[in-house]
Amino acid sequence: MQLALQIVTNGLLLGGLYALLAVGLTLIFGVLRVVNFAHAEFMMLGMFGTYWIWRLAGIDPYLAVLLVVPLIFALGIIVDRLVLQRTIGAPEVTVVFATLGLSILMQNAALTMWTADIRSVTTDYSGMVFRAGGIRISVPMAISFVVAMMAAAALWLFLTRTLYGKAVQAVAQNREAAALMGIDVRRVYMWTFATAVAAAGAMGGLIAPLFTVYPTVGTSYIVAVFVIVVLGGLGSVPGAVLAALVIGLTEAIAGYLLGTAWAELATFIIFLAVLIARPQGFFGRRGAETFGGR
Amino acid sequence: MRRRIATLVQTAALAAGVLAVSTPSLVQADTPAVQSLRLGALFPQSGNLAFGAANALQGVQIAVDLFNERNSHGITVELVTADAPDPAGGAAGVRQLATSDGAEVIIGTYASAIASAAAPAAERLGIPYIESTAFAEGITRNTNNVIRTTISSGALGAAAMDFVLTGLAEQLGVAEGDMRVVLLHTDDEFGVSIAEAALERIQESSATLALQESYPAATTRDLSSVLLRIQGLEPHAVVHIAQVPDATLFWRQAQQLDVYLPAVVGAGGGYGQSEFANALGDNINGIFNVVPPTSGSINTDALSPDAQELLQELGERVSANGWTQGPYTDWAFMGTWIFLDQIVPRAASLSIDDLMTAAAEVDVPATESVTGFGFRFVPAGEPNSGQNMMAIPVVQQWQDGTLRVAYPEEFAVTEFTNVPLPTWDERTEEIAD
Repeated sequence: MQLALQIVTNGLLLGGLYALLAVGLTLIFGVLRVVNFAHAEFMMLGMFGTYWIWRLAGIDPYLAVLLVVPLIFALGIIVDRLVLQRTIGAPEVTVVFATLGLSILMQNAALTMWTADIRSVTTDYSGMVFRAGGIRISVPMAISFVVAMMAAAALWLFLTRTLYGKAVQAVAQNREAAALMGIDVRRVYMWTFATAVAAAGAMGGLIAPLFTVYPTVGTSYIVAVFVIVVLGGLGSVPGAVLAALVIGLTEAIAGYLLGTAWAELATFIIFLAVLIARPQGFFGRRGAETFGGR
Repeated sequence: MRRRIATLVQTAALAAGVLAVSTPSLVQADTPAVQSLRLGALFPQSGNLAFGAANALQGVQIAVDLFNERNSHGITVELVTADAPDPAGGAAGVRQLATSDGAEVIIGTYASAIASAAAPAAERLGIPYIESTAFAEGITRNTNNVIRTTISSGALGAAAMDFVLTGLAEQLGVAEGDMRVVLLHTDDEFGVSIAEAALERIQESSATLALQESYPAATTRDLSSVLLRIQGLEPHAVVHIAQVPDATLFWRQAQQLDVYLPAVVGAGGGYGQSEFANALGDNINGIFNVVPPTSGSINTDALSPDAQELLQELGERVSANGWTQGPYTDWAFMGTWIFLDQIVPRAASLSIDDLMTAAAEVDVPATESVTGFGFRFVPAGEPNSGQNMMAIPVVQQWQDGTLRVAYPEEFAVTEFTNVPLPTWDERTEEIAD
């Protein structure tokens, strides 16, 4: 029983890591209708930013996250201005290639600046755990999980309970109608994109004490996160969180019962099974990939 | 008692005649049939692998420069390079070197996956291929144009498991038949080819393979499940074939889950990298790694004067360029040097057949090599032709944050420590209830 609880705990903690990345990706898709292939690269920048602040200034990684997030938010604004705003109204394939190109650009810029060397943040608490009823919970994993859940909840409350959040929803539902109602669509796009990539950067900072840092680290996450976003329902924040937890659990349970090599296969079986039964995902709307904040 | 590679020195001294045969002087007595050579160097110069591969390319460049400057054989070598960031790039790089740059022989490659694509591409064009740094067994098994100066993954995997069942078992005080071993590896060519040889070795023994499991190195974000399975199996040793990110993840999660690992033996890849040691801190001490030796891991005082001079030249040129000398510098330098200084002067031409014939005549003892392993190649027509039979791995152990050769005894510069490894509670883990 204790072993089963440990496996479930591991799965939920892993799902929590995915959630913060998935929430941002689903937000960008829901509002901007952009499939952001560069999303995990902002996570990579968050990891590198945290690493360098820790390495050069000796600042604790979790404090470094507070510095990194505004920087990535600002970078998100710049990227939106230089790239995404210029693709509004262009064919979807243009936007896809724009974000794909952005991903390659960011990876190679990181390779040029920091080389392919693999770096790691090692702190006193990297191996620290606490026990709860015999279950061992990694302190850095637990912190990442709690922050991810709080960030997702805050984002959901912002989108559903504030005037600006409702403006974001209006843009997501019909950008032309929203513009006619006086909403500055370009500004909504900009803030949405910057917020979403800042969330990815925050995740990067939070997992820096757990995982190694290198320029292509994002590629190991992006497919899993796309699966989560589709599984949760395109544009749905609660759906992304639920799907992230489901995928995390699936990987942990299948990894134990069938072997690590089968864990990824199991997630795709779950993914296909859910989509066959419910093509719009957990909380998506059938026939229209619209963001509803629900 | 500190063990040295004195045995090698004694052997070399007693076999002075053999040494003489292997020195360049005999080779240079006759005018070589080959007077000039356009050598194509194929290594990753962009992408993920570029940083690590830079050392290998630097080793090749230094060997070519030194060979031209010494001019011992009257052979002029011109070096041309091509980028091979991935397997497809490797095959394209071969075509570029062979057709556009006029390379007559290609040397590479740093990464097994790239070499596995590039070597057959060269064979289709009739170009000989020198592999100085990649380990995958298939590179020589599946081709007829490859001369590999470094070790093969088969030898690496067999040596890793052999060490577990002999030296390590003895140190643990466990009979071979009672040993329970876990074999965990990446599912790429590097991991699978080493694992196959390790598997073959344990199946020949009376030991128990408690678990064999593979995982995709590029996408694995969690190894907690396999660690929990290992915990339930209580193995005496784990043979882990991994790169730096997954090796680091494995150890960090083992600590978090309190999975006790009495002994872990890596086989090249991440377990020999300083980045891995940096990530683990003090927890690195006691972990084993099986690799071909390098100048950094052997007692270089035991090398011959010629080899010591060569090593000094290498070190000076690395420093003069502001580079760093790593294992890949040594392997690529020595592989290139042996090809130019020993094989080419003996060859009737630069055809695959003539180079393979010349390679089969080479017999260089370990004391003549800056890497600490000798050179004798499997003749053409035999299985695994072109493979260096003298590239024998050694077992290193992380001690005080550095890798030191601990096994076999005749190569060892240190004794085992931390066998078995301490439990996590005995380390500095902090647990809050």
